[in-house]
Amino acid sequence: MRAPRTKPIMKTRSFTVGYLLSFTGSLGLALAINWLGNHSSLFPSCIRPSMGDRAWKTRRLDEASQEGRLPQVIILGSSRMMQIQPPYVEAITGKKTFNYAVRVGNPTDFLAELRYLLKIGCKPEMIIAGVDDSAFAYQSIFLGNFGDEIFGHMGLFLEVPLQEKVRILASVLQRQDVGSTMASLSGLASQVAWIDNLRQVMKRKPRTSPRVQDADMMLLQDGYVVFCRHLLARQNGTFKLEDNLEENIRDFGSRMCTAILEPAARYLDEFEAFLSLAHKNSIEVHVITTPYHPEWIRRVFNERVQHARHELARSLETTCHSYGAHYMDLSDVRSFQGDPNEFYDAIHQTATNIQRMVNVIFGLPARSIASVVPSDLEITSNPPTVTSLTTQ
Amino acid sequence: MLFNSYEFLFLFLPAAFLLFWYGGRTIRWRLGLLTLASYAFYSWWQFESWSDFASTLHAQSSEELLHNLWRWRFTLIMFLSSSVDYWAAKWIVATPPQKTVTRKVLLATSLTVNLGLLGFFKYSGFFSQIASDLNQFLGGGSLPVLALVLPVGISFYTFESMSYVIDIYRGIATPAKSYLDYACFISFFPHLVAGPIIRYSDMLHQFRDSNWVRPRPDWNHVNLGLLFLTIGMAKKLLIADPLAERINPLWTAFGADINLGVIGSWAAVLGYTFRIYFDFSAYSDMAVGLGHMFGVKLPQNFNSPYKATDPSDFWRRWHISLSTWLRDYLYIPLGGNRNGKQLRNLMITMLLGGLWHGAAWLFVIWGAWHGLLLAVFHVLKNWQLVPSNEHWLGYWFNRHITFFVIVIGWVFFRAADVHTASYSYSSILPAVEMLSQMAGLHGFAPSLQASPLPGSSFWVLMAACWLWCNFAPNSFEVAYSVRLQKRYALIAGTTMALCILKLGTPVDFLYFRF
Repeated sequence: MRAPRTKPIMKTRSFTVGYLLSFTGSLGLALAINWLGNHSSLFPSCIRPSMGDRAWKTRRLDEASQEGRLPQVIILGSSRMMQIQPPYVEAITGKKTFNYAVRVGNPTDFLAELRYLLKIGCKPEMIIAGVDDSAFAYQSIFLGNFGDEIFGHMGLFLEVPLQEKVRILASVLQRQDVGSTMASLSGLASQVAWIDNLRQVMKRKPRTSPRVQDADMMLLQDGYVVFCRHLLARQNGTFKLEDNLEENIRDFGSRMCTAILEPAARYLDEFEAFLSLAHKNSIEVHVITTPYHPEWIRRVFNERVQHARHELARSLETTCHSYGAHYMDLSDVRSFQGDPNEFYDAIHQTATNIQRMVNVIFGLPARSIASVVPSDLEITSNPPTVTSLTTQ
Repeated sequence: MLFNSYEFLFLFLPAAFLLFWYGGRTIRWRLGLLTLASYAFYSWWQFESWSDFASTLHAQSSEELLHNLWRWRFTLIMFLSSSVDYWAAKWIVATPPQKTVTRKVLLATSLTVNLGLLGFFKYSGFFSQIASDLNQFLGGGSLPVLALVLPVGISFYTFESMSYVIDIYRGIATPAKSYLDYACFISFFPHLVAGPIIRYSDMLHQFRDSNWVRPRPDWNHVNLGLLFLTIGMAKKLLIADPLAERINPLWTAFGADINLGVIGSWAAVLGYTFRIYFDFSAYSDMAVGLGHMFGVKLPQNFNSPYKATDPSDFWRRWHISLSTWLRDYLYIPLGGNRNGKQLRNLMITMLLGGLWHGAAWLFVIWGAWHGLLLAVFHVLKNWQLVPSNEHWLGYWFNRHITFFVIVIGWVFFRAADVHTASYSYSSILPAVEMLSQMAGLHGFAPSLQASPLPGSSFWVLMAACWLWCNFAPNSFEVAYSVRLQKRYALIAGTTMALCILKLGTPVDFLYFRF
């Protein structure tokens, strides 16, 4: 009688090899789907490019570079600086301006952005850099890890210092999960016309474009941002600054204090490297510390935090002067005659305050109007063609 | 460092594995490397970052030096515990058997150091609270209550260390060949922080096995290691953590004095019943898997515990290494089944077993509950009132009744976490409240403010867990019976990749706090 046939057992080493191959293969496949489908907007995907402000704005600069209309004045900083309107600065300086400020922008972004500008042949004559005094924190005070979005543009990412590069890469990889893979796969499927059409038929809803009314932010081609939701709420009379302040204080008041109390040496080094690079290239740099709502300062910052802020401002001033940069501490609204009612929340201001701030930077009377530029309402009611709408 | 973290899986483990198998082939090298790696693994918990670690390596003043030493206290405590026990055992061996007093002093010294460390770090807060309460009861004021951070894994390695010295004293164990052997046994990272609680006799022959000095990895061991590691990761990330996500809001709502109703309270408790099994057995599986990857076979810690047919059977299947430790070093020395004191000895053993899990009244009550279950079971068994397992009806009745009483026990266990002030007598109240909600004494439906009851996915998961626990083979049955074929390599590798994609922010294992 013949012995029953049994399935062959693998050679012992082959099992490990097979395991590792299927493990790396599965992970690689998931990563490829995530990269191309780019649901997290963290990857420089050729099919679905990243819509994070770092990548989006850098692509606008790439286009400007290709078309030979490079800016001469660059605005850097966080979302608090994104509201500086380039046409207003252009009216004062007479030079083409681009707002390269990004959400939760920190010294890593400053350095990488300046390096990238120089790499693509854009040597600005002037840089206005707005520094948040919490931007030197070791850990980002925001949960969203916006800094990782720099990976969304490979050219920009390559200009990031090596230590940060490793950290960002590790963080981006760690943020890939089953949910983002499925969403990316779905995103890729929507690129295929017949699948997308089939979906629309099954949903039985007409295809709609994103609307300004539903967006939190609108990014314009020159890098300017309009806070649509706040703006429309103000227009409708439903806006309540007090509520927004309360929400901010509750959500990240203590984290902001921790961030100010624990600045990281490497961010201070990167800020110095940024100033040094600008100095070497004879770029005029104006550094300001960005303002807070007075109520926030009163309620959130205790004596210890205030002391740390003053120390940081003194240190920034010394560093700026050693590289020939101008420094202004505008964290108190009184320094530029800012109106506490002209805030959207604890840190973001309306166009009125922003214009006063810009006036002071350029040595103009705070309440003067250098030029009449389109208001935010005019922009939202008639948006330009190249814009990006963002919801959080 | 957690097993389910990127730094462990992608940096520590590959580096340790490659250096272990390819770095050198002498026993000294391999023991030294494993000990060093294990100390690094353990020390990781004390520091927030590399710069934090680096800052403790230099000191400019004696104050700074003391401060830095304090930062390394967990590592130093483990080193101290290992050193005292190694030398105590060595001297016991060197002392002639007729010098009983000297041998006893050496044993007592070792036990005092271990129990002293455990008592100071784990129980000082608990007992100082009792002293304070007593003082207040007697008309005095409240006394200060200590609040110390518990060194990770101290409950596990002190028990291992004590068992070694006791076995040497009893003359039933072979002494360690060198300090390195012993340090490696205690600190071996797979079992260091959450067991299994191993004996030196389990490790001795493995450290000296010829396979251990092979020039290349023992692939049979490595394959088993990968299989166990994958099963453990899947249990943790695909079952225990999703369960935790769903039941934690219920327990949080319960902690905020919201009535969960009958369904909500049963969902919370049953969810926890499965979560603790999958979480803890996942860690044990990973530990066994990692042990195999370094050529060491660790003992089984779980043997399908929810298939138990009586409380005694449950303790032969649940946290086996702890229950055998308690049996060998507590229950039997107390007299075991002899002299008609079985029930007393069972109760003392289980009370202390409960207290081992944590310094809180609810853990003591949990231990007492299991002591009571064991006692009642033995009485009923003696009176022949326990249905026979030979008939299917009796068998399933026994299994379900056992499962039910175990679930009730988990109420005490989990309720210990509801309020942070677990030392005070009032910490018992949440368990009573939860039991009354389960019994429907506060109405069937949850109160209006209750967080929404878990949806259908939760109940599907629960059903899957119930089926798994009742009918599926356990990790050991799977790993040791499976024929290694290509498809298993494919399935295991893909499952591991899925686990990595579910990793996100690593969630601690439940048993780390013990």
